[in-house]
Amino acid sequence: MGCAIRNRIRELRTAHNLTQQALADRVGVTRQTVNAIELGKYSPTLEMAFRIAAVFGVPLDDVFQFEETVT
Amino acid sequence: MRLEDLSFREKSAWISFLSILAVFTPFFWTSYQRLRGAVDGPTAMSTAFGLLVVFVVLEVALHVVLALRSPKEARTPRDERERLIELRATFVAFHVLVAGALAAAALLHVTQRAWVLQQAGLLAVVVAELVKFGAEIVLFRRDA
Repeated sequence: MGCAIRNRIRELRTAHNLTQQALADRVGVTRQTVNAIELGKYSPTLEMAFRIAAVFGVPLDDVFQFEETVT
Repeated sequence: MRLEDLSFREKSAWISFLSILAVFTPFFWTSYQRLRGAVDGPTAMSTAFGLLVVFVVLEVALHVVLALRSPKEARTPRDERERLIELRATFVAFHVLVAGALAAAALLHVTQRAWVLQQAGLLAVVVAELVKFGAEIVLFRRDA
């Protein structure tokens, strides 16, 4: 049983007309970290996940979804 | 890989990695030649300390240039992903250092020469540092 955290950051970012750098500045991380999260290569801490959701003004599970997959 | 795509910390890791390589490769190559008997006399530890000074000056100068080129990033503390990368790299480097220290101790028993212990000990530290910065670069690239 594997698991993956998917996110809608790119979609929400586009909707809010935010660049990766602008989101990074508001969350307090580097642009490269935002990129890594968007690509699913890095799973953020709960604190950062809440901060990202707060930037978009949506609940956490609107941004991040946990999926269990059978492998 | 474009230079402007790299974060400040990744550029910093590249600077440290290449500085160590540039400064200490000639030193250990000379030591190796002396060990083989190709060159007379042991490498003076004063040379190692001199190289250490050169390394520090090189590191400081290149980091100052890097900070001047991206002052905002230079002032920003490491974020959680960068801290995690540093921790993982340090974890790997620690084991390399321990293995190097044990190998240096074993070499002393085999060769019975204090100079070999000095060189092997210094080599263990330098290799561990190379592994640390190398691992940081790999982990930064893996996320890119």
